[in-house]
Amino acid sequence: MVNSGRRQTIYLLGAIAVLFVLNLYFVNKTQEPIADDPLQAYNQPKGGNGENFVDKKHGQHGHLRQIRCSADGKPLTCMKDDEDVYFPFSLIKKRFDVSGHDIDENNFEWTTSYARVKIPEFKTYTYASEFGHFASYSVETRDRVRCINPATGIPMSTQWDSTPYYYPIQIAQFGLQHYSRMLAANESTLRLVELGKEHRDWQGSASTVHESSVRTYFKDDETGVEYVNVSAGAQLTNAGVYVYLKNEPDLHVVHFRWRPAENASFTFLVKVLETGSLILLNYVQVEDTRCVWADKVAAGKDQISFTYALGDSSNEWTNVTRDLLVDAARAMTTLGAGKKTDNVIYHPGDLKYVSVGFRGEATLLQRIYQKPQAHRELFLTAADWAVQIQDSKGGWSIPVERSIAERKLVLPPGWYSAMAQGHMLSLLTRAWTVTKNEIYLQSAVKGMELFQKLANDGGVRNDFLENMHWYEEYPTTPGSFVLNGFLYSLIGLYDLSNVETSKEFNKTVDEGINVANQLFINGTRSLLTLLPLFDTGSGSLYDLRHVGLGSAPNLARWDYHAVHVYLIEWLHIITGEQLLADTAQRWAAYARGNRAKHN
Amino acid sequence: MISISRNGLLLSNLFLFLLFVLYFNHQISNLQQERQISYQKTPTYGSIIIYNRVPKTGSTTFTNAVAYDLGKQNGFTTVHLNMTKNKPVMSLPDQEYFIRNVSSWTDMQPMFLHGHVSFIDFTKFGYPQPIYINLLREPLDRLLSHYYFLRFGDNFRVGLKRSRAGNNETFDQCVQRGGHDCDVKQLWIQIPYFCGHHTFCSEVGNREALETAKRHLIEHYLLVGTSDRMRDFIAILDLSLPKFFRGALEHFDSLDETRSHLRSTKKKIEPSDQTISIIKMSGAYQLEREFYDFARNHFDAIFMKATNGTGKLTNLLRKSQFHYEKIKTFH
Repeated sequence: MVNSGRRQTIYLLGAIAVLFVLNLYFVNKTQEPIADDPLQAYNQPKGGNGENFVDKKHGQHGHLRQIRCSADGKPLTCMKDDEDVYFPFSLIKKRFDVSGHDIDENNFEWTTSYARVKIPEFKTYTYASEFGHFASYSVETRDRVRCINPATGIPMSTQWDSTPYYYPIQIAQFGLQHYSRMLAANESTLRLVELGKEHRDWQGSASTVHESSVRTYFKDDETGVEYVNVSAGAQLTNAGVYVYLKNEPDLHVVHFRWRPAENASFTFLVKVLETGSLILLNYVQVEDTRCVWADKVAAGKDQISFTYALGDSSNEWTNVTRDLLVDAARAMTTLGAGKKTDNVIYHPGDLKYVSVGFRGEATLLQRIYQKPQAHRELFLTAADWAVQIQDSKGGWSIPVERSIAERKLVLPPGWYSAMAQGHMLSLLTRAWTVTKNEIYLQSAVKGMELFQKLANDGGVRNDFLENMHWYEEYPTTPGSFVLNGFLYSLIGLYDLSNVETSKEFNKTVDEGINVANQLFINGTRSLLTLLPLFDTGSGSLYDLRHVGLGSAPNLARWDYHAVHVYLIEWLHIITGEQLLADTAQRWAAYARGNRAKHN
Repeated sequence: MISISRNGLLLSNLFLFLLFVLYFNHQISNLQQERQISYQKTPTYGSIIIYNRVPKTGSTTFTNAVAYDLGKQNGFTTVHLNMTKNKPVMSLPDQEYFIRNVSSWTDMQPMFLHGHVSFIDFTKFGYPQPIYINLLREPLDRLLSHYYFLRFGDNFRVGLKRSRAGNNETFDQCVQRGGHDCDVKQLWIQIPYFCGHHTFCSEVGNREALETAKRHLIEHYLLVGTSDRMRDFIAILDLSLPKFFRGALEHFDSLDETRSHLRSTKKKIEPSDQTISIIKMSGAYQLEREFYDFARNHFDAIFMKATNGTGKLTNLLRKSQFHYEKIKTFH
């Protein structure tokens, strides 16, 4: 005890010595003047600690101090030096609709528009061209896209209703996006890897779940096509018969052809490399409005299981093409609370592709393919869906209510949009160019009928000041005259009118092309007449709803202003009208802070 | 002016330091007094610990590096319960005999009893319940360890030839073939160890067994740790059961690598993602995993409380967070 007591005392004395030195250091430090209290500068305006506020870059001219100031009567605190007065940026941002952000600690950037204003890169445009900059679109990764429905191959939206629904504008954009990417794609994206060639590539599940998994192989002697018959326990807990996927980041699209019996299902197994968790994507033959959901069975966060609804059993030969990155990301997004920040996006390299498994009773072509893209297929899937779903009025109706202007203008479910109709014309014309199947043109021609009917009569046209035809994105009464949807509908009409008439065509198609031309001419006349009304001198108006409602004008957000500029220049390229070129140029300058002169 | 105020500050701070040092010294001597614990050889409640160890959960390390090593220092006996043919369940007469025998074997008490046996409820026979402790491991990790242990043995009993020696089949191959050793039934072990001697406890995937195991863990186990946090487990035991485990952490920390991780299976081959997925989809795994997660959360909550809400072993509260006052006696 005595010894340890003495040793303790020595340690303590040592500790005291160290602490004493530290103390000395800190006591000296507190003697230094406090440099970063601006109020101190305010209280001692002359001399005092003023020299501590020298602008380090510009030397002595600073003498920045706090003052009281006001903006149109609202009291504020500002800064002032010998030359100028400085208002808070938060005030400027709000008052002038500008954006600003720190580049680094000592640099701050102010930009008038937060959206980058782009001008079309092309100089000529035809109905077969890429659709604007849609090659850079990504409908599948939008937070409001619940899923690519596995029964139809078509995206479903949750933008205005929590139950996913088909939204024709989004679907047309999905098709046009894949068409544009198809044209932009290079050779390397055409790679195709064949799986399942050997019998031993088709692995059986273990009897650990008391299920045998039988595969029988047979070959059609005439065609030489090889098939495999799968018979395995139908519960999702059974891995069934599976084929390992190639784990190459670029090969994220899987394609196979199968004929499922009632209880058949298939499953992709992937792994999130960042977290190490396994994701099971089960595609099951059930009807369910949710499209995709998380299964109740779960093994902590190590393995998450989801089900995609394949719809009722068809028992027919079906092509399946799925993008693993898209399906995994859409499924994972359902785990979030539905906020924008909950949106999950996977890029090549984020996932490891493990296997595709089959269970229940099914027949498959013995080849499974893995590839980097399926643009052509997805584009034609969208076009085929459009042809199939088009109603007797030629419309692609929108199944959810849409209200604008604080519910002063309400469109009940089942409304039509000139933007959807126009996008579909662009999509269908392109589907004809690729396939030369006239059915697409017939559908497009039929799709123009609504352009000729007034909104009051269930069409998509409103007339501004009696004789200016306007194709309405939202065919409200009174008219809303939304600019961007109108511009897209003009491009659609142009695309169809641009197809050369031919005696080969069905008569309705031949005549329809001329109708498209007339509708395009009428619309262009309205555009050239009314476009100046959308110009605020510092930006643009989103629509002209205020004319009918007698309300305040609806200013376009900067991202929509950027869309306006792009579309107006696009129509300049089509029509050669100088007014459009001048407007696009002036509007682009607004986004850089330019303003029209006052009187 | 400045120099005077600086000296003043220095002096006052020095004074404060001295006060602090005196206080600190006082606390240390207090602590040393608290550590004086007297041992009795007479049987009392709390004299039997049963560690019904689950195979391949790090139990050899725990029993050898803690129980057998500390017995002499802390004055308790360590006993291994050998179950015939490694069957962890006893008949009812066997249970009665075992309970009576162990409870009255006062010469050996305090006693640390360990063995591969399912939970036995002493109170059913009218005896006080012994103190139960245990360790759990992630179910698939445990199965993999067991699988390869049977094939390649470990570094603990080197010469011993294991039952599947010479069999080089990987876990992946076994799952593909549907073999016995990798059957998901083999996962069903930690739940039955806690569930006890009821028939349904051994029914693979029985939810009632899971619920019973959870209830026993809460009601009858003093502490259940996880093998990946053995040091935290030992630290809590050190303070919560000083009669047996005083100094256990210090002892554990003084061991070299080979002793603090006594047996490690010689060779393990990581299973493929497909295999992991297949195993984790099974009902047996789902329930075993739920039990493991339950135990882990429970242990974590105890550990958080004991470390003043920090979850850091260095912040382990060594002084009781209560005291007596307003005492009024009549003798």
